[in-house]
Amino acid sequence: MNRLEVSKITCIADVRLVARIEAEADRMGLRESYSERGKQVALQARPFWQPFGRRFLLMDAPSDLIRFYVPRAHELAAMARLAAAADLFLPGRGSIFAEDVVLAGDGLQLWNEQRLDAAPPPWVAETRLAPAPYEQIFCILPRGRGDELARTFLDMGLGVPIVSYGEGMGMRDRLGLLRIVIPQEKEILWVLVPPGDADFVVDVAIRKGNLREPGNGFIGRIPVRALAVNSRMHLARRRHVATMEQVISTLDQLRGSTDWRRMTSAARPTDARRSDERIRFTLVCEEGAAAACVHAALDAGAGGATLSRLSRRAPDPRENEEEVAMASHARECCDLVVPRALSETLEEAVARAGLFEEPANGFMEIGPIRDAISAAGESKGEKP
Amino acid sequence: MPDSVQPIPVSLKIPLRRKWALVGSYARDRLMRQVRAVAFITAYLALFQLFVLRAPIVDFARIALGILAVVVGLALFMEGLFLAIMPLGERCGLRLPARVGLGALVAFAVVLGLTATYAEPAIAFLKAQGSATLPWRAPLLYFLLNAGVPLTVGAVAAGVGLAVALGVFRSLRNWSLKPFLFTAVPLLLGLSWWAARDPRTAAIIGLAWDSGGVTTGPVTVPLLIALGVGVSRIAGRGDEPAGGLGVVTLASALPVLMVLLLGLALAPRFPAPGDTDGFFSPAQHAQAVRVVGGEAPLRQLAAAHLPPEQVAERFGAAPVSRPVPAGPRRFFPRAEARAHVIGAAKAILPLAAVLLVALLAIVRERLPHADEVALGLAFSLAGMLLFSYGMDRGLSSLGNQAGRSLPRAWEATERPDKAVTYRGIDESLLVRAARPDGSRAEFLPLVDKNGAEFVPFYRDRYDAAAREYRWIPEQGPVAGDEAFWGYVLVLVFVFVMGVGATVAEPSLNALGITLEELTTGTYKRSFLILTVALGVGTGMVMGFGRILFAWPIVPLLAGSYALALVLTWFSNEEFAAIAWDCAGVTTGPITVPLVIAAGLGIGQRAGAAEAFGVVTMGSVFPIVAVLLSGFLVAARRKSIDLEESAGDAPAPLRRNAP
Repeated sequence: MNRLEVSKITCIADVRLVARIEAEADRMGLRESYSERGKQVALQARPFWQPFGRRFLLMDAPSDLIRFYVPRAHELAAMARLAAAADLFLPGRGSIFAEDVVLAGDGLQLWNEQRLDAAPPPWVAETRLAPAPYEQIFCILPRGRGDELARTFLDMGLGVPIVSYGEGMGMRDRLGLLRIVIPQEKEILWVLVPPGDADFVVDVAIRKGNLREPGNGFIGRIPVRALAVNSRMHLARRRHVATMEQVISTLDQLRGSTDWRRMTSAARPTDARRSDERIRFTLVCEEGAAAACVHAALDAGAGGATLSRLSRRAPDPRENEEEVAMASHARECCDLVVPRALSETLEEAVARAGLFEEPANGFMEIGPIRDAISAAGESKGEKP
Repeated sequence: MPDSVQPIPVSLKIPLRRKWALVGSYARDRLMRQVRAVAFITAYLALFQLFVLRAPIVDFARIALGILAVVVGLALFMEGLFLAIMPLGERCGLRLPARVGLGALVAFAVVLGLTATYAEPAIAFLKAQGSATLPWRAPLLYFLLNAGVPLTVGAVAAGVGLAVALGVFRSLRNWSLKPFLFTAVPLLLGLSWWAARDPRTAAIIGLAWDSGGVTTGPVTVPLLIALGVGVSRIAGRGDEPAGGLGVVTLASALPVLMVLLLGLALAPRFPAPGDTDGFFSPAQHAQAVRVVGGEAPLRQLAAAHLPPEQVAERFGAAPVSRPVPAGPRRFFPRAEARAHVIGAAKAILPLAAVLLVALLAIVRERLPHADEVALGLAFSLAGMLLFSYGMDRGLSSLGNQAGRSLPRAWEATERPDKAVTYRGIDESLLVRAARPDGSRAEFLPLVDKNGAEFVPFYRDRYDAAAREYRWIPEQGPVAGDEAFWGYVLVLVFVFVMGVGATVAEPSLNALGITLEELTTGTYKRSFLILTVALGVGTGMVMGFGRILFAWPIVPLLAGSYALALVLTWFSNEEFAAIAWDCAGVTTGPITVPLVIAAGLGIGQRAGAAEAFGVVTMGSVFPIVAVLLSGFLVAARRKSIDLEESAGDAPAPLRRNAP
């Protein structure tokens, strides 16, 4: 098993832009990417033909969440090129950010060394473009509860929520056939906020998502570096020469940080249980193979996992057309948040369960997580 | 170290009371969903009959029990679909291509398609729609619906088999659905036009198009959707969540092609439509026997349609038939119950067997959550059984009553429930009146609490010995004396019925849930169901309008499909696939019996050779509706500008460059 220190780039973009991003990734020599269907949510005034209901409606923009892995030195160049390909700097299109992770796996061929270029395009220096520190705050909620929290974030102007679907694994699988009565469908909602606002947003999420109640969800925050952040929270006709989002993004650029938009003076303690002693594991493997690995992780002490379905982009369809056509692109991805002390035990457990071998052919991503909060936890551990 | 480091136990013990509470809340949730789905159509049928057609509901308790069975059956069946049938289908789609290669995958698809048709033969529906067909007016159609049923089912099965194979192949190769549509639909319309030119094949056009719609039943459709989704996940079209759809579309289109081809191939061996005498004439005897499938059925037909002396002359003396004594009427007749059990088992087990054999014997893989699958299969079996039984007793029965009362919309009808027997009547009371042609009519002056009136006198209701006359009052047309407004009322009835029935359709619900899952909720299930329901309602209006106003079928089909094709041309791939799949999904086990029920009433008036085409119209208009809704959604999403930026540097940053 090899370990590789890489930058994980996450790009969220309107589905109509995905082809451009993938074409750019191909040009850059990024051989693999993993995408997942999600949506970016914004508010739009209720149209005149709908006389009843709330003044602003939630509008979903179907979007893809695409993950790329690049050498750490290539992070800025890769983010800039991918962002430029879909012009993610325009409000409403999407976001792109990176974080440090360690990959563990066998035979990982994530990029083509010859084609990869560490030098950012010239306009990056010309425009003094640099990644800004952000925090990705993510909540895992029972299915159907995401809209409410998304609306809260939008109403309070905290950021554009991004929602994807997943399935909860853990306690439910230990109930025998009775498990069918407990819904496993989860909604994963996350939002990118400036670090100064993170505490406030976490507080809001805990309060509005009622995350203090057992079984209501999980919240965590991951420090990231964002190059472009979608800030278009209201879809409305432009009334001035620039939209508010454009003004904000220009100020961010001029001030060189997002600190000026802080809403609270200092970090406030939240009353839910918190811990920095945790670490995030993401297992990516062939469709159908995740269950065995997750069960091994649960036996090793993990509290629960969230499973999402990914689609792997094929390396190069021209290499062997027939073989590539019949090879599966379907992947499963399991996120687990576990105490740091468990990390080695868990790695061994999933390796024994066959994550890195046929037929799982998987790899593991290990990354930091701050303030993983599970109000439900108490003695049962985390419930991502 | 946090407390969560402790390993959690391998199995959890939950107190019994808590278990019951969990199960109770789960069952309540599933039942309430179906109550919401079925409530509208039930209330609508009952209220329409009671207050608009002013007819009483007969057998109320039996119907109420039937509707309860429908609700419980649907809840169980849907749960079974999501626990067993759909996961098995998706798993086959995911696993088979990698394990067995393309050839074996195509073979599996063909077997699945064939099994699906034989498992859920909708031929009963087609027979019902063609029940008014007389062999001399449409010989080929009569043959295909009676003696030739194995041929018809064979053609449909071949079509479905081919369609599943083609659909799976398409998903695997990421081919667009549009070229298929732009080839298949004009081809089908062209063949229909060709068939319409020959009076022998003209009558089977409706049958062919309807056979496409009805073959895709409540088990087949979710299964095919799941299979397509599985295969498309292998192909990994990340930007196309609806990539797995389209199999149902093909499974609706190719049977039409097959039935049309079968009809065209058989036509030369069948006589042209004619009259009764010609059909039973000795010169045509051989062909007539072929049409009805034997001497005995021909004789029965002759007995029903010819005077006894002619029957005796042509077929010899009639064998004596003994009437079968009618047994006591039971609440749950055993034979009927057995038929439902066999029907449910036939619908679920063969398909499940194909999937299980594929997974266990070909892919050779341990079934994940085998207990869940077993429970799901049991649920779907029990659900199907209760549902079909309940449909028969409850919703269909209610629909049939409303259907039978429908002619009240445009014609005066007798109300036997308000009959009064007058005593002491003799012929001296009769009053004679003249008709315009000079003939005489007899009237009887009667007095009741509302005063005196002259009522028509029918001798068959007069008992001269007892001096009693049974007077059955008549009720005028509900919509006034103009038949046109009566027809309009009927069309309004079928529109709302179409909408209500579609909302409860299990396949459509399964498609809606799958789509919502695939698109992360950007395509809402309720939106899909509402759009499709409005489409089905419109389709019903067009289909029944055709019967009532005798519109020709081919221009109607060509016009609607041309509209659907034009919209498809401008639509994006995602909406095209969703829309065309909806066509096959709409005509399910709730809509179809109600269409038959409405047809019962309307067919009497129409005098048409057949009442086909309603299902086809009910299939094509949802396509139009969903495509139109796609344009609406696209228009709302336009507020996000996605034009390609011209330069290398991103637009908002360009001005900062020195």
